[in-house]
Amino acid sequence: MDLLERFARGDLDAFELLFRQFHRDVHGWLVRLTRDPAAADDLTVEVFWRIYKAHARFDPTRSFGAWARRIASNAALDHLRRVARERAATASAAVRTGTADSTGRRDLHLRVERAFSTLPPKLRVVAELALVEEWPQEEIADALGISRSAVKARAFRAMKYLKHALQREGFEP
Amino acid sequence: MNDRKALELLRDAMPPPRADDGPAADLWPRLRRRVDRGGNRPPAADWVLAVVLGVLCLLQPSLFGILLLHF
Repeated sequence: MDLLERFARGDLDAFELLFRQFHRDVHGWLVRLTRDPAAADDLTVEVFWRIYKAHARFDPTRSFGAWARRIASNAALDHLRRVARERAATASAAVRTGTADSTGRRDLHLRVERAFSTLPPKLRVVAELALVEEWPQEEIADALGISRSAVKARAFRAMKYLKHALQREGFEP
Repeated sequence: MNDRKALELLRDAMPPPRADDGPAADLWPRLRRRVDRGGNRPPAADWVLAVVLGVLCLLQPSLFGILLLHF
């Protein structure tokens, strides 16, 4: 019986082999989507825990890597939503350090990062892949488990949202 | 602000993160502990609910009929 079939039947040794084979890919994917390597460590454990719990639903004829990546995408979205809620809860206490006439390069980068971090999670992950990393839409659609037209629409909305957020950070319209 | 300017700002401030370094430590022991702890058992709250429903059905047998409607 091959490795994927053994995993689908709940074999823990097969699961460990798959973890050893795929965890770096999953971790890298989570770093891309969250930009937080420490969070990616925790999320990698969470993702493989979800994978283990769902072993009976896995179809051994399909790609394990693609399945793991989609589960990782959902875990990353959950994480970004949690972070956004926490940020919203502490927003009133936050101190805005950037001003419209700030000139330091680091300050400029911080303001861009802050604008980017306000994007809704679903738009943010598409923006990361489409706008920052310039992935082809087809690959993004496949990795996130959404249609190509959804990628296109989200990238468009992300750009619109980002421009407003940058203006709120003091960048000229 | 046009799209080109926004993209320039974004790519200058936020280059793609280093995603090939891998985790800081071996994550298998953590995952294995979680598997051993959690298994595929139902959550504790489900057991509590089952016990409470069982007791209620013993005290008030007519509730059993109502519960059956949910299946």
